[in-house]
Amino acid sequence: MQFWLHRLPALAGALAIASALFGTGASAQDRPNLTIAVNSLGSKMDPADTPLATELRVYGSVFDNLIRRDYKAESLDPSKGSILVPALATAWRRIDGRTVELDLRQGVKFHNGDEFTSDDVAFTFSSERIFGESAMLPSAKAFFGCWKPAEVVSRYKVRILSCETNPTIELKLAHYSAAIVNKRAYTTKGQAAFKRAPIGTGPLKFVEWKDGDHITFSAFDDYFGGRPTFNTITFREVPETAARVAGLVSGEFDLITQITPDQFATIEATTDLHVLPSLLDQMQQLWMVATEPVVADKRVRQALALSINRDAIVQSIWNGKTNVENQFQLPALGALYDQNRPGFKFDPDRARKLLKEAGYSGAPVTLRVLANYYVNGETVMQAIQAMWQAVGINAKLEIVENWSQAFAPGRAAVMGGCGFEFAAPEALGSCFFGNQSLTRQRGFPNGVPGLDALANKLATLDEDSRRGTFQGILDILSDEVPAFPLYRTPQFFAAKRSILWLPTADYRTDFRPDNLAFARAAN
Amino acid sequence: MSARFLIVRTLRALLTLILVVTFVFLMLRLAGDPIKMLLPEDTPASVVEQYRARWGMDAPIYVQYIRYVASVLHGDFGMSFRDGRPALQAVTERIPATLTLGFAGLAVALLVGLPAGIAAAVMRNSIVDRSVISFAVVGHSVPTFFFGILLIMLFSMSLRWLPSSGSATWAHLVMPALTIGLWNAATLARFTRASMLDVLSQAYMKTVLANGLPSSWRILRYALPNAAIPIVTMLGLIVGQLLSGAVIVETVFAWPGIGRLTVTAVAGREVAVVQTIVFLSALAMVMANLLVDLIYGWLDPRIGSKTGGMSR
Repeated sequence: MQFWLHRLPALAGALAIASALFGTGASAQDRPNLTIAVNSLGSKMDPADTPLATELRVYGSVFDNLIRRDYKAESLDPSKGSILVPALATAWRRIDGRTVELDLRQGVKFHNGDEFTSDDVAFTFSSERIFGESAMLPSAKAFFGCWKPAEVVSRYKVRILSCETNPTIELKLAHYSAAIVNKRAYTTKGQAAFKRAPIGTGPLKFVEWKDGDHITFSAFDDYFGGRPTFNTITFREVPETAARVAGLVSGEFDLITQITPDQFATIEATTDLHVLPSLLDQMQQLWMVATEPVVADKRVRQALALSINRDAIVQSIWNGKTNVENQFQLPALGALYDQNRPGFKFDPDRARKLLKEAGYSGAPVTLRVLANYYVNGETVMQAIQAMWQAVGINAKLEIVENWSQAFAPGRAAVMGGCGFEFAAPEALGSCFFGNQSLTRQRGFPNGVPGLDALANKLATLDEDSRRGTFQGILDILSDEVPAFPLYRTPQFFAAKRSILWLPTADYRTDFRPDNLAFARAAN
Repeated sequence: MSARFLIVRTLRALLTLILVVTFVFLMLRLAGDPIKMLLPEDTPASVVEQYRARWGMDAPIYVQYIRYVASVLHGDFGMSFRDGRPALQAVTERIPATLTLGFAGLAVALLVGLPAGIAAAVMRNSIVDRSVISFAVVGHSVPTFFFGILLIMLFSMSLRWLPSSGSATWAHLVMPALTIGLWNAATLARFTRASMLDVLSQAYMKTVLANGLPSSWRILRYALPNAAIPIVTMLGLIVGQLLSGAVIVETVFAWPGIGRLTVTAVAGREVAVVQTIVFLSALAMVMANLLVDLIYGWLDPRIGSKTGGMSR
């Protein structure tokens, strides 16, 4: 059910041809002004300050990273896993297991005219901003783990250091939290002012923010990746999905975000509009709270996983427009990915057998989901409730308002998400490994048996060893079932067909010249 | 209007404000940890504590309350967790949009609701009366989000006459003002009709009729002022609501007013912003009702001359 994979190469090809034909030589007057309707503008634009998905969609092209993932190349050949390409760094190399040295691109300008140098990298990854005791953004430190402040080697050379062998440094450098900020703007204006008027090196240059209404960016014509193909981009906040769709159909908007499958027919009934899907590197999942007596026996948890018909959910609720992955792994993991892993197949007979063996006596199994948090979340949970009831489980559904309520005592299963923030098994760490993992907070106070010890073996650059370790981790997750995946989290955009643009597996929207072209003027 | 009447009404307004603000302060803290709402799910506990200390949420709740009251008395409503701006600034910059929509909606309500209510009362049991009653029932029963979407489908998607959402031009104001205005007009028409019918059945109106005065003069000079008190009460509530922002209509039409800010601030547990909104909304509601009380005293001097107890 690889819905998007067969469409993206065609779109990517069209984009490449259009980029070549319509190119970047147009004057500002010839380039279109784009209006994009988003469900929320958010409240800040600092990529390391606990960004929300809605915020990343707005300012995703304001900043650049040292290294970036080439999602387009990945979509053309998924078997290659994550493909990292130069961005603000032109080359990089391993000094040792803990250190990566990067050569910085020269002649790159920030939006305020400053030249990009190693000082900006050092500030971005500094004690003052992230790693210190009283850092401005302590939450970002949790993502980088035991990284140390970046070391300046020369004006155009830096080193990124970790306190232990760390095979994921390059992948994390491509993450939105590692986007490079302008040191002078950040330190002179202060973090609070910077996040309302950010300065980066990307193709979008901040112009204006009217809170609750719009944010406008202009094309940054000195962008190192080429002259942007647009003149301005205005993000308009339109919270109501129907109003966004109406604005797209009426021609007020060129592109809209966050639509749901029930809107597809309306959009596709208009010949000059189309839906643009992408699957995020994230899975919708169910947490199992093993401290609740009713699911304390792992056979019951296995039965709950086996009694869900994921394909039926994907077909009926998502119109077939997402994928079911085999356990917590994605093709982006490359060599570590095992496409033959069985995963949790729908097997109600085996589920009933396991329930009988575990002595399940009909006690209520309460599942909770946050109201209006995940797209289709409540609908999916209602379907799961019915599937569980069909195998004899006394399933009760509770819709709650926040995470505190979701994990208050009395729950056996809670809908959640576990993202591959970077395409490596370590990305599952915050969910499953270590003393601070969510699993320990949610039903396994001593951790999942055997998991932490195995996860420690991931700290090596030997890929064969990492593959074996990761598959071992997945074996434990399949057996103990602290959580199980449902399907890949999709996101849907819609746009005028004249706009040749591709969403990616990242929340960030990419409006760089190689990912945005126009078959004809958009307005 | 006695001084005591004024003092009692003002003290009552102050007490209402204090109770509302205290209630919201407590509810926001009891309904979920604001710091956990700010940070990603998997943030380590040590980092959560760091943020809690930074925002003063680590102190006992009574200490937080005392600090909050002291700050408010100094005009400091706190800072937004997310964007780092003063909460008062985040709220007050939304006021112009809310006032624009609120007064446009009020104008529609008055222009439609009052004449419709008067006409229905004067032409009781006629086709006009039945039409107004039908309008009042339907207008008040159809949810604003549904009516708003219908307007968008008609005027934006089909006819393409009006922009679907936003606030950039006067054209953007038409549909949200109609949605709010017609909903309130329905209520106002019903109240006006009932109040006018009550007055028109009074003996003094027969005297006015016997004097041979023109019907428009009878209605405007004698009937309407006597029917005004329930209508003014209703208008006070409508004005108070309009100034607090129209949560649903602002959301449907992407109007950047206080109502939308309320939704996002509550969802994100933006404690300082929600408290500021509630404080200002309560202030608007209390002031509108205080004004209504004062207008009562002006309309009917018997009310103002009585002691502080309610006379209506």
